[in-house]
Order: sequence, then structure tokens, then C-alpha cells
Amino acid sequence: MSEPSKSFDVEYEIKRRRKGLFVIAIVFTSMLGGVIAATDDIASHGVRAIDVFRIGAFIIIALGVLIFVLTGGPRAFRHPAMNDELVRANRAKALRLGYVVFVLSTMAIYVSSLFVAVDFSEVLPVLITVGIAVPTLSFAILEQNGEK
Amino acid sequence: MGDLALKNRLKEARTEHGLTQAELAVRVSVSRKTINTVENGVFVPSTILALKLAEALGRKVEDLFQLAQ
Amino acid sequence: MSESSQANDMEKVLRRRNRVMAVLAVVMMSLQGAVLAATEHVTLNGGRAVDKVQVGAFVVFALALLRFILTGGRRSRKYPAMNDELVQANRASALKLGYVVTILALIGVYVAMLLTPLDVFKYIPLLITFGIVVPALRFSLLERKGE
Repeated sequence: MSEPSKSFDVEYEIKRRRKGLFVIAIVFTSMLGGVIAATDDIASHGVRAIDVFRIGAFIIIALGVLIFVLTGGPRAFRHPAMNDELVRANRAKALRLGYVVFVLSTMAIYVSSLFVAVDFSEVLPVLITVGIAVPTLSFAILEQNGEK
Repeated sequence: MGDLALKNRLKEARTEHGLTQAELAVRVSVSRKTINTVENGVFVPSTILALKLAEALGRKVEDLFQLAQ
Repeated sequence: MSESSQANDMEKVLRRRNRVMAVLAVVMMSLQGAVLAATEHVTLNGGRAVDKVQVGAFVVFALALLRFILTGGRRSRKYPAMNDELVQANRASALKLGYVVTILALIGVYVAMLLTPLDVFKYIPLLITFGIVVPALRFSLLERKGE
């Protein structure tokens, strides 16, 4: 394979990953309604298979997205250029933002729960979604900036 | 820290110049610890830091740092 | 001021920052019992003034330590080398660990809440503490390694 083709593949993979990150973040966030409904259903009707499936899928996807953001995806193991210095710098920025937003959100919820009744069964999935979607989107946006 | 190891002659160049780690650190606006970890190959400096080090020691960057094959 | 004495000053400030960060992290952990009790009182029956002060102090302390981790403290404005490349790399590594550990802990709490009756509000201050103490200690340890 000639050198230009090799670099083209890596560029293509990086673009694909970036688009994938946007899509994953949006899909993951859109699961929130179903997860909250499932959590409420468990509280009122007990555990049903559909609820287990919805919540289980949410947890598995959450962990999958987390691993994807942290590692750059399985293809990054074949192409080290997919995790080069710039990508690592972007990832560090995204994780920093994700961390700050996540900790501040948790603090805000804590303070609110002292004054108003907070339904944690609904709030926890929201916190998880925020904690994972924010760095995922941030990473995707930072990666996009490099393409202009 | 990088995909390839970096060889460096920073310690050699620094001692030839008669500077301690602390003195070199002040000249390039980093901590002594950073100089120490760069000399020991634990930390790979950025291009800017590498250029500052080269300038402070009156050497070319490639005299101080080489890719380890 | 000679270069040597300037470097020595900065070394002292860096070491002190490390110690302070580790101490503050330990202090935050040790507050958990009191914060948990105060949280329970405030949540369940409005709480006494001392409970509200304890909860307020915990939040302020958490925010201050978070800011300290993220910025490196006010002295870094006087000594920019206190936030040099190595420090920034150590901070990034510490925040990454803090983020991962806290997200996983939160997922753990959520799953536990679904399986067992759990007073989740008791775990929220613990999660906050975890999320701040872990990067603080990690940062402190990484900074010590270079010495």
C-alpha cells in the first residue's frame, strides 16, 4: 500500500470516529426518557423484563461510550496515529470539561436536594448522561476543529 | 508519553554549561522537577520547551534530543 | 534575586502546594461522617442551624478544593512554572482518573439503587468527595514522583 493511501485511511477513520462520537452522544442522550420511565416503572410495578433491558442497555452503552472516549476506539489500536499527540490533547481537554461539569452538576443536585424533594431515580440517569455525553461531544467538537 | 522513545543529552549539555537543574529551570520558566524528568527520559518536552532549552544552552535542538530507533 | 534562590523558593512553594493538597483531601474525607449526619437532618426535618452550616461549609470547601486542583492555587500567578508542562500533564492525568472513578461510582450507585432500597441522598456527598479527593491525591502523588 502506498504512503498516501495509508494516510488517507487514517484520516478517513478519524473522520468516521468523530462523526460516530456525535451520533453516539445523541443516541445515548435520547435513551434518557426510556430509562427514567423504566426506573419509574420498577418503582411502581416491580421489575419487568423490558425495564431490565432498557436499563441494562443504558448502562452497557454508557460504559461502552466511556471506553470509546478513553481509548479512541478499537481501530486506534491498529493505527497509532488515531491517538497521536493532538488527539490526546483534545481528549484531555474534553475529559477535563466532562469532569468539571459532572462534579458541579452533582454538587448542584446535592444542594437542591436539601431544599426540594429530589427523585434520585430520575436524577441519577440524568447525571450519568451528562457525565458521559459532555466529554463525548466536547471531544468530537475539538476533533472537528482540527479539520478546518 | 510519546509513540517513540526520545534520547537526550540534556544533562550533559547542562553540566557543560555549568548550570544546575534549578538554574536551567529558572531560565526556561519551568520547575526543576520538569528538567529532572526530561533528563531522565520520563517526560517528553513540547517543541516550545525543547527550543527554549536549546536556546538556554546555546545548542541546536537536534544536539539535545534525538529519536531513539 | 539569583536564579538559585528563585528556584529554591519555587521548589518550596511547589512542595508546600503538594502537601496542602494532600492534607485538604484527607480533611475532606474525614468530614464525611459529619456531613452525612447533617445532610440527613437537613433533608428529613429541616435541620438545625449547625447542620446547615456544616452542609454549606462542605460545599464551599469542595468548590475551593476543586478550584485549587484546576488552577494550582493563587501562587501560580506569581510563579508560572508552577503550572508548567509537567504539572499540566500530571493534572490532566489526575482529572482523567477522577472522572473515570466518579462516573463508575455513580453508575454503581444507580445500579445498587435499582436492586436494593438505598438512601441515595446519603451517597451524593460521598460521590462529590470521591470526585474531588481522588484527583487531588493522584495529582499530589504524581507531583511527588518528580522529586
